[in-house]
Amino acid sequence: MLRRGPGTLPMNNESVDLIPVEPNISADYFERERDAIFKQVWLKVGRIEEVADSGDFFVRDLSVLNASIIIVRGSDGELRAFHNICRHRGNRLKPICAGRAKTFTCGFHGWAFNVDGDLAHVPLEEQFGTLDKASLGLLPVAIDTWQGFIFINLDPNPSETLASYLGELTSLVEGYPFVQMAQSGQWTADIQSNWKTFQDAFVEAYHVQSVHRRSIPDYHATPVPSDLTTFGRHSNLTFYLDFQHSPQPAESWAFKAGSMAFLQANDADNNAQPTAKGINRQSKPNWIFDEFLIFPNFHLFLGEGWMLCHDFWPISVDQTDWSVSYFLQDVDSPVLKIAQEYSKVTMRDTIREDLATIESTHSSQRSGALEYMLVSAALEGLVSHHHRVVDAYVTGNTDFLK
Amino acid sequence: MNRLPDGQLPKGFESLEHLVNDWALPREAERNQKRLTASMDDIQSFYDCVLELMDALVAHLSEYKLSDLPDPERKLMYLALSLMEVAPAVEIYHQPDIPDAIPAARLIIRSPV
Repeated sequence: MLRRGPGTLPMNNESVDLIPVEPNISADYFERERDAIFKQVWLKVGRIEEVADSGDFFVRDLSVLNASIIIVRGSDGELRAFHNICRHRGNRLKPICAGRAKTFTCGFHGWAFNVDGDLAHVPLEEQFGTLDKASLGLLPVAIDTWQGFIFINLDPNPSETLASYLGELTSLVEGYPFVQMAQSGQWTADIQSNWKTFQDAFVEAYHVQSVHRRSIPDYHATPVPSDLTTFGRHSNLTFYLDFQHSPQPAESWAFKAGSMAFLQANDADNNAQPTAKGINRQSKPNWIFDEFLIFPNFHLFLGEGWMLCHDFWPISVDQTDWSVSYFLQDVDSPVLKIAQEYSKVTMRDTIREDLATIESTHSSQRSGALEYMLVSAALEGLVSHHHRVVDAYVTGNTDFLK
Repeated sequence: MNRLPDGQLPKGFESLEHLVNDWALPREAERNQKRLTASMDDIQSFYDCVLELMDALVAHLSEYKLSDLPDPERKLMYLALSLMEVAPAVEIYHQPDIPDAIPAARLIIRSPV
């Protein structure tokens, strides 16, 4: 079980966790996170739909790893990941891009690699004597998939498999209709904030009554607006909403047309809810979504007919490259598409409200004036959990996660 | 009497023809940009016009598949998508953009058509 509170301030209050601010603003701590977390664990980098056929590839530049990675489906249909580095003199093979290729050719001297990673062509090869091309393929990176999500691990010999790393998560969401979901949009932003501070804003429902007072105006938080669960390094927030108001005209039309709405609660027909062990565990009628916080930087929101993937990629201690990929149930009906659009726009608007607080929090924490954040264990326990797990990795005390 | 040019929308939706050039936009980013740059009067007038025909619009589009949508029906759907884009501006915020949010220009919208 997790320790209560990493803080050491004398505060005799079991309901409160104290979280030190220093790890959010220390460049030294960030370097330790880079080595102890990001270079060691499985990281989500994409979806299999992005590399559906042989030769399909995409490039991710991941500055927290000081690395650029090519994900490619080979001529044999296998999914592979390689360092985006030419074996000749280390030039970058491809810029950030995606597409379909037969070969990856280095722009420096023209060394060419096939999509399986083999060195295929070296101009003026005879000038290199007897070159053992078979041993000069692209440098491989560990890769695996789960429910269509592609993960990589920069550790050449990962200490555990992806399935073991995800642990209980895999059984919790088994049954959710991932295959019916199609990506219908992506929103990105470059935010001047520590990655943990950024994530903290999306792991509790406490802020809804304040940050979203306009967009979700008649929100009635039940005593606790969400249920929190932790399992090892990952965690889960189940979000409920009592949305007691008379919908406005366009809103009401969208709700009527399709059961896809982000804010559609008090659903009389509960049968449409996805069934999985870890989704709406308490079978409450006002369930809205389950959010899974997949350590370290991937938040997966599973709703009825929609799915959101938040990716938080640290650039530095003070900067994070963030994106949301928005998936909707794949429909062939223009009417449902219109209904879904309302849900998507509402989600985007509320996320812009969320983003308003992030830089303000980070920049004021940088002053160093505040030593500890004080959070409610009942409302914001997943904030504490994430900081605790990060600190466990950084200090090498991860035993309690097992 | 001068002959009017052929309409761009299906029959029965002539009253929306004047909105097509400005509002029948295929991409989410374009629709959002239109919402952010339009005056509240224009948004309200667009909203009122489309909402009035929403039942007819839904009844008409129900006959079609997304994968096989003729051009006039596609434009009609784009108008309805723009209605959804401006709905929060009219019904929630009472202004085109969201108050107390990160500036719109900092959120990059990437979306398929």
